[in-house]
Amino acid sequence: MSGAYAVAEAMRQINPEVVPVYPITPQTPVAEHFTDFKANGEVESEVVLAESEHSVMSIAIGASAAGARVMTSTSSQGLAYMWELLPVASGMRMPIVLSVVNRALSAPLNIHCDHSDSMGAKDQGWIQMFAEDAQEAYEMMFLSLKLAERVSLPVMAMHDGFIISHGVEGVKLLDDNKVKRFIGKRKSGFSLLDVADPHTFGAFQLPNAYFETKLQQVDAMAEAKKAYLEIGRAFSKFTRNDYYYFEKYKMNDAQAVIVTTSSAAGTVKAVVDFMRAKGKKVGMLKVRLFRPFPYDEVALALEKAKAVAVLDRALAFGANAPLYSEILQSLYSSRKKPKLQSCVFGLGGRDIFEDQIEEVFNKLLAGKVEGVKYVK
Amino acid sequence: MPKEIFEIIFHARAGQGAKTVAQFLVEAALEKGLYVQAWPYYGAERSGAPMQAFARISKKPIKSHAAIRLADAVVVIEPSLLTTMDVTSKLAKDGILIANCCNIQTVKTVTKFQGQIISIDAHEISKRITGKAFPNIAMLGALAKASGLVDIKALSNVLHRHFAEKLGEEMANKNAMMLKEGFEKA
Repeated sequence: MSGAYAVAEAMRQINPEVVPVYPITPQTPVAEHFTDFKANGEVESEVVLAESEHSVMSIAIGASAAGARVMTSTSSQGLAYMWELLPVASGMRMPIVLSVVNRALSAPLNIHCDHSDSMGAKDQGWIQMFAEDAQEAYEMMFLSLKLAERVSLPVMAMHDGFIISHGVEGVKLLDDNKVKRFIGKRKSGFSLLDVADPHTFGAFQLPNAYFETKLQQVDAMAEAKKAYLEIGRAFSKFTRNDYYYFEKYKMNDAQAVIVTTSSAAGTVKAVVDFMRAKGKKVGMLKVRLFRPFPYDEVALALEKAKAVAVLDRALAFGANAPLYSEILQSLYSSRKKPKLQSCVFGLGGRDIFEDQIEEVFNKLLAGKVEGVKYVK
Repeated sequence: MPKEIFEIIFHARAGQGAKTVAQFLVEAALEKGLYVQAWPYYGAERSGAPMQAFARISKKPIKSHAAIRLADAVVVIEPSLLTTMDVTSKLAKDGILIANCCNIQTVKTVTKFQGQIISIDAHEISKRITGKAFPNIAMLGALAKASGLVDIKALSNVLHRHFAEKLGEEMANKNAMMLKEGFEKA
């Protein structure tokens, strides 16, 4: 099945109470398949076909405040249209799960994959994780839900538009009952609908209190970093897969390492295999959890490499590329610092090929690092 | 299966079901225990615009998500694309070109491809069996025969599974007929 279908399937198994949704390429199959499930009576979710993504997020926040499990999906301009409400969702501590099918932001108008959409929202208090393929996209829905409800923060789970969303691969599904057992029921503290014990949601705060409320969110993010591992370990018992902050691929004695996320990581793995067979000591680090960012753990994993290239599928205009920035910061206090190369690739869905990745590795192995490299 | 990893590019116009047949092909391969990928590529996102679908079938797990650079087979579902674009630029010299067209000589002249060419009139098959133009199914049959990747029975089952519920038994049978005829005529 395709990545989008796998995400819809995970949503079916979760059977959230409320699913507000609006279509946008390449997320559309997620919405289509889920509404099919609803039409066929396979889920009991209240599906709301909202008039825009802004409304989708409004509904999501309201429903979540009422104690419902809420999930939805979007991409690109759809996420951008929700932007005003993203910090509201996190500020109100709503455990909403949003599947983001990564697609380039306009302008120019482009329906293909890059990470500008989710990177543009990385600092809004949402937990963020990236899936490499359809299998991870499927499994991350469950991890996201448990994590969201554990720390009361909304979660965005990303997978690559078209490459993964529309790419058909073999996916191993979990048994419905196993899923039910794993996700349990949402234990919400207060509810909008509890008229016997009424509370105010989304209140006003003066300068004397706002700061501390934000610090509570900071604490929640720190808690999320720990909880992510615990939940991942519990989930591993069902799936036999690993969910550590990042995947270390042939990194033990790697002299040159590429750090990246999502589907490109798969392509890098193929190149690592190919180059290792030729005796080159290369490896890959694939980041799964991007927010909260595991700075210390990444530093530890990268310290021994001679040179590291970070492959970003997004720009940060006027600044260093987002993933590169985090890696740079991770290594700041390390005594042993590998050479660091920022690479930007795949904007607007442009393909990245194995020979281009091989060239990046070869430059790293030769110790050649130069400004920002645009892998076009 | 001849090679360890087999790559196919389908050329069609959006709405002709290229993405669908790529998916059917890999589903049959998946059932055989092979590893697969199938995905579409759209230029202008509207019906009738030229598009491509891709499929990868491998004996080993496929890690790479890179686009196909050199295919082992190219299937041209829409004949007009033979003249409007270079459908063989990403086809290996020892690959197979399967075209929905009148005859091999015309295909050879237009594409200048020197390798193996198979040409079937999938439109004729479809018009005769269903009264409408669904050339993709017969082309899928031809691909199955030419590549030897999946057996026709497995492919038939995949089709039936998808079509019987969606279109009814009669239409599912017509599709099976188109598949079989494409297979035989290749």
